[in-house]
Amino acid sequence: MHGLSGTRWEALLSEDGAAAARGSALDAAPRARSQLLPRLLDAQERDGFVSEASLAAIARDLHVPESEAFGVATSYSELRMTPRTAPHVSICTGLSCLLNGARALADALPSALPSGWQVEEEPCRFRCDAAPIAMVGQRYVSRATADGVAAAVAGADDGGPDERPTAEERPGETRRLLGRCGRIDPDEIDGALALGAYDGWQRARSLAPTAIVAIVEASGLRGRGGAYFPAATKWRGVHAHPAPRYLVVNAEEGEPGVFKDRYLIEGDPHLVVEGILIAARAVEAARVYVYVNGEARLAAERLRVAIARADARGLLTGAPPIEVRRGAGGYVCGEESVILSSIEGERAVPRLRPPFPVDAGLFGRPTVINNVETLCNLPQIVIGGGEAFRATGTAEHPGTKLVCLSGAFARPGVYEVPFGTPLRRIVGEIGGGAAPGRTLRALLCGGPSGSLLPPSCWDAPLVPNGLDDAGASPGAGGIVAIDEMMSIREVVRHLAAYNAAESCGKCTPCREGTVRMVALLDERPGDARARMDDLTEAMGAASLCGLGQMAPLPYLSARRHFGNEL
Amino acid sequence: MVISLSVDGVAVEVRDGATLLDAVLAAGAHVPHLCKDPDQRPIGACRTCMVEVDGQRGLRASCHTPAFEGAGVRTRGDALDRVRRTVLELTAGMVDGHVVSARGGVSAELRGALARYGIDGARYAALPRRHLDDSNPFYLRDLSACILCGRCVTACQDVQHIGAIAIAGRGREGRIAAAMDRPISESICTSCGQCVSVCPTGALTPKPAPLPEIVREVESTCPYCGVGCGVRLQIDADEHIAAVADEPANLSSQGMLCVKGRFGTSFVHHPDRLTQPLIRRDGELRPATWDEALDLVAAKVVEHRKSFAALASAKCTNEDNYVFQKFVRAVMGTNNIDHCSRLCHGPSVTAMMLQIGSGATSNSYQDYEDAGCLMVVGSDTSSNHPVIASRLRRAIDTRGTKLVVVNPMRIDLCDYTDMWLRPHPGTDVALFNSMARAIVDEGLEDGAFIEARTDGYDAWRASLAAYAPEEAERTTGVPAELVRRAARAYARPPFSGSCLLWGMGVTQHTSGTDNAHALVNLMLATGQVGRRGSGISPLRGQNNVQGCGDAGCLPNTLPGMQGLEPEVVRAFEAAWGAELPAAAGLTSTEMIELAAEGKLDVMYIVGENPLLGEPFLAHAEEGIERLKFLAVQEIFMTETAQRAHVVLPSATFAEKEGTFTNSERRVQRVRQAVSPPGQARADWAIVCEVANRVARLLGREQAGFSFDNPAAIFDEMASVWPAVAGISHARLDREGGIQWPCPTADHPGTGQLFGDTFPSGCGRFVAVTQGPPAAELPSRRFPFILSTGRVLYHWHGGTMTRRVKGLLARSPVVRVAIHPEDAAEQDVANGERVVVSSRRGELPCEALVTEAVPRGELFVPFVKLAESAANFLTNAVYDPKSKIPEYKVCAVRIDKPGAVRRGRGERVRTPFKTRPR
Repeated sequence: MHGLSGTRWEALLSEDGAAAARGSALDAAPRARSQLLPRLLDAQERDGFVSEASLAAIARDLHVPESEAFGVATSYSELRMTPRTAPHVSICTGLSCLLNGARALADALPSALPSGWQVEEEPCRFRCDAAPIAMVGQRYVSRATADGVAAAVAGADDGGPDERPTAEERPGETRRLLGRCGRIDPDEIDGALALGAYDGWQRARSLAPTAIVAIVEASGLRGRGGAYFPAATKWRGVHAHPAPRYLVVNAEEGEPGVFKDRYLIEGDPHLVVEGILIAARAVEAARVYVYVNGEARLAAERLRVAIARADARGLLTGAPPIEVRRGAGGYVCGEESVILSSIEGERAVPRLRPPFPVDAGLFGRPTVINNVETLCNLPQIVIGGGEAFRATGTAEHPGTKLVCLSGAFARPGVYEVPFGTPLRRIVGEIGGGAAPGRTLRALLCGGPSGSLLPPSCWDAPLVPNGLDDAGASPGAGGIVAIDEMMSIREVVRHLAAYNAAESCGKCTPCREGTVRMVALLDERPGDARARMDDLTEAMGAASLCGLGQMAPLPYLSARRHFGNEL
Repeated sequence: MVISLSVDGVAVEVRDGATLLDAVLAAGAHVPHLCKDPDQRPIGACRTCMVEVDGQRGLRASCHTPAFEGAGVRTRGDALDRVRRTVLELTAGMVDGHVVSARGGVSAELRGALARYGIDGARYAALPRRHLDDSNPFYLRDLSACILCGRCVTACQDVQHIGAIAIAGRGREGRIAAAMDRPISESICTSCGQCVSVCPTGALTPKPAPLPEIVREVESTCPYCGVGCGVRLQIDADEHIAAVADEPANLSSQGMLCVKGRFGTSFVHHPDRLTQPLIRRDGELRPATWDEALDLVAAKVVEHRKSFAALASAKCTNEDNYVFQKFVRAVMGTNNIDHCSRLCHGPSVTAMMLQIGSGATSNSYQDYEDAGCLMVVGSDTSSNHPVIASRLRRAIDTRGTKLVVVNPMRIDLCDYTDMWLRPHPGTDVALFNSMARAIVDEGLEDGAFIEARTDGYDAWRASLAAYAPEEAERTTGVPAELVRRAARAYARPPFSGSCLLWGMGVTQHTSGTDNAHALVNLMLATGQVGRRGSGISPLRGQNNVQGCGDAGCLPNTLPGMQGLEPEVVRAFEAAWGAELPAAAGLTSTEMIELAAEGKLDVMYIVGENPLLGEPFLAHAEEGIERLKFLAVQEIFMTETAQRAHVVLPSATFAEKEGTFTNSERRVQRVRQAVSPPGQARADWAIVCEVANRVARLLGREQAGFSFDNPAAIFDEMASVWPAVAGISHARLDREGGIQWPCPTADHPGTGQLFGDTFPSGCGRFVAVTQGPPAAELPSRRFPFILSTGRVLYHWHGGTMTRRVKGLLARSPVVRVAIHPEDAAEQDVANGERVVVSSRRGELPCEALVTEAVPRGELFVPFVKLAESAANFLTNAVYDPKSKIPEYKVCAVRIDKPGAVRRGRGERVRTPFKTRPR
């Protein structure tokens, strides 16, 4: 059926070219369908689930076939298609919570709750520094105990602030991004302005977009989402294409053990808005979408308030519209192309590359996707210049990195350190070492697809690909301290099961491979080892996106460093 | 631009834009590619097509990695082999091996890949998704063989633009599903089977599963509607059509088919097929020899040759029809020949001939996808021309093409537009005139076009005085602002041009020709014709309506729609060596009327069934029964054949050679795939036999009916009709279908007509005025307006589709659509048995309560199911200009069975009670 010139798929390509030449009314504009996820979220907010009638109505309104709307709705873990039948408490069973007694809590809870209440387990609530976390309705119960949860259910503990704890600055930290967190009222603007908020934006407004790109290029700023791609290179990439261009802010942060973007947005939303404004000007974006994790209600709300406050002060003059979008669950939603699909109203699955988003991203237009933390570096770079930024961190990785400490640490929380800081210093001076009575055995760096590192590796500097000889990476900055509470084997299995549950299911190696990995971990000895070798190789080499490609990393790092414990 | 690269050391060249997979396959190398449909964009899900590229780390999925100059691609290697093997093992672990190994054909792709790499499924215990959906009569969905490649979803969403299925769920919960996981039969699935045709594993498989082994394939053209889709008839060892595959290379259908085309050909082998000639003896039709039957027909038509008329069939080939009309004219000496276009697009042809000198669709289907605005008038395109509807949806979905729908019924396409104009029945002239008024009032007309290409603009413009949209709204019920928006969209589309498509909703009125005039006026005023993305399309209902008229089966035109001007007639006399009649003949509706009055003695009817297709069937029946002699040439014992004196068994499309001409004027080959049953013969061969016998009886020596084969017939037709002079069977076999005009053998054919001029020279504006909406209006006793039409799962009267098990299963009974509020008032529940009656007859049927019809109106398809047929109700009143009956409006009432109240002395004729005589 294929042939050199007769390949009909090629004809399709040239058809596309011809179609573009013939014109289209759809060029570049956001389509009605991009309202699909917001509408589904609204329906769930209203009814507690997405009913058949709501789904049909939304599909009809947006001219989306009902089957596709159903496919989209069921691709998000937080959207329910059936109503709840009983009141419930959910217990986070993410790694950090398990390391702090979530299992025992989950076992103890049923007898502590009024009859009729159900206990559900959730993969992660992203409050790992206050583990274990329980949730009653919309309320979080930090450092939960059975009594505490029972009290929340009874309503005794009602109405407390939904704040996450602010960590005290520690020796060894260099606070460039966290400077205002905990020192301002995030719902107001005057305090932030008094401490220099929007100074960078005021300066950027006087600069040509290309000049901003040049400054950022000189700074050597790299993306903080985990891939560490040079920010200015992305920006230059979109400038190679005609307008309209889009800026998408990745505030999805759906990775257990990582909660720094929420911390930034909740603590200093104006820094985020300022960073967005500078980046939007640099890439001359026609519109900005901020994609906030569905669970991060407070962050989304604070961001909306901050945008409104800035607007009221005339600070958004000359800036493109900024739209806050909320996700609806799923680790894979942090993958940048998944965010694009999600905003467009498609299923939350990754796209094929090429084309890359800088060439053809949102609505087919050149699109820059930047992480929140990346953007928060922009004000200081614009104000101080590229060279000043390079004074901190390493030559290859200038600046600071937010790290999220959780698990068995004495002082869990979000901290900011220069790149190159040795892990041992982060563990000891900042994290305070093990919590009383506990002994640290390993660090999980880089989230559920990260690496398990024994104390012998902890002298390594915090830089991408530099945490061990095999090139382990800090990812987005999550560091989970593991002690005797769980065996290495249990940790690896937990992460494998997490990855299996979070696989979007689009490609075979990830969807099938993650499930088989769990099964192989349960199976031993036999030929499981040989099959695991083949399996991890195939997942790494053939999966469509990072989730599948990196899912074997905890296992592989454990093999390297804790081989006899698997 | 060409890209040079190497695959496993073999140098290959591919076109710019090609992928590494294209290069691999071009080099003759092999990688599996289970999710990559050769005709569609890559999905990238199966990850079996991985390759190595020199100088690049890791592996690449070849299906979605662009080829680049100088690339060194390797399809084998230690690591690569291991990875591919593991991915295939994981894939094998998804399915039930027994199910997969039972599948053949396209469905064997997974089986083949596993066999090729020696994977037996032993390494990972199978964890198939267990779900069997047996609810669709045409195909089985067995998800235990599904590998979630997504090809079926692409077929449903991106090819046919239906959207019945999607991928739902996450991770291992992932599944192909209809909305809310409903059974597929409860979804919007139209059973087109596009998904089945691309499934690489057999999770989707045609019924009965498993299919018998296919021994050969024959390329041909679909026998149903006028779209003219390419089909490949797949023949099994028993010489049966076991399945029908689509033909991606066909330029009209581009690999699409609808349910009738893909699953509706089993009528060919139905036991009801006529297999031997029959002669009525002692009141009964009894078997006879061909000689007896042919001699009798010849003798009778000679005997009554002064009172003879013929009906040709738009289902037959061009060659069949050319021979038939030649017989009628050159041997019988009359122009009394007509066919079913009288009952569908007669008014369109009448109006277009007068205004521009041609009755053909001006554009190609591709223009619908190039257009900036599509205006679809009186056509339920999704039901009646499903593959054209797919192309309309594709344009709207992918390019934002504007759509204007004009229809009293809510049709599927209404979901794709915010410009649905819903006029009261019979008020089309007022609506189109008001749209024209909006165009000229806002200065949206094309002045240059009007100046250069048209006549009569000023007078026409003046005629619009009474049709300001606000005025017309009182007649049509269509809000003036909506009319203006639609007018703007049509006159000034956002890009490219505008296409105007219409169907029976325009024509089947006593004002049918005026309606068509009003539409053509819109085109003339805006110049929306002759350029890419513009044009006018009367959508053709039958597979070969275009060709039947082209071949000359009309009472007023010779082959090639050439008129009866003396010089034309003389040219044909010279070509055929016979004296030809000068006067126009009878239309089909006139034939029936004359017969009813006892003024017509003999009819020879080929493949037509007026006793289902004519209005006021009881009256038509009287006409047919008064004939002194009736010869019917048919594939089934139709209602008309039951009343014949001689029945001649003929061949279906699958049993003969020839050509059909589709709605975009594309002449396409029809090929013999199987032998006719019993003694049945090709229509052209039967007609030649009759013609020769008649000629002998009339003492003529050379009759001109000694054709060796249909190719020779086509050659003769090409010699008298210049527009197809460049076409021959041999050329069609080489190149595929060609759009006429194609005057020379090296001419590529013509996609767009009227680019520079109209056949009549200048286009003529024809001023028309709105008259009474219909001949019969609702009254107290008959308070509802009845419209007739068609449904997706049946074709016209249903003679063929009623004999296809699955089609009948999807649509077993005639259902009358009624608005919920009317239903409540009449105390009628959805699915309840009811009787719809008019002044002329009764229709027992089932109620379908739906908001698709407006209040006060009922809709019934004219298919005959379970002895119910809508044309017992319809009114035999005619458009004076084109003689089309008013199928779209008559007054009826709806009652529960047994509760039918009749007027005093009223005789109500019940359907099909008449015995064969």
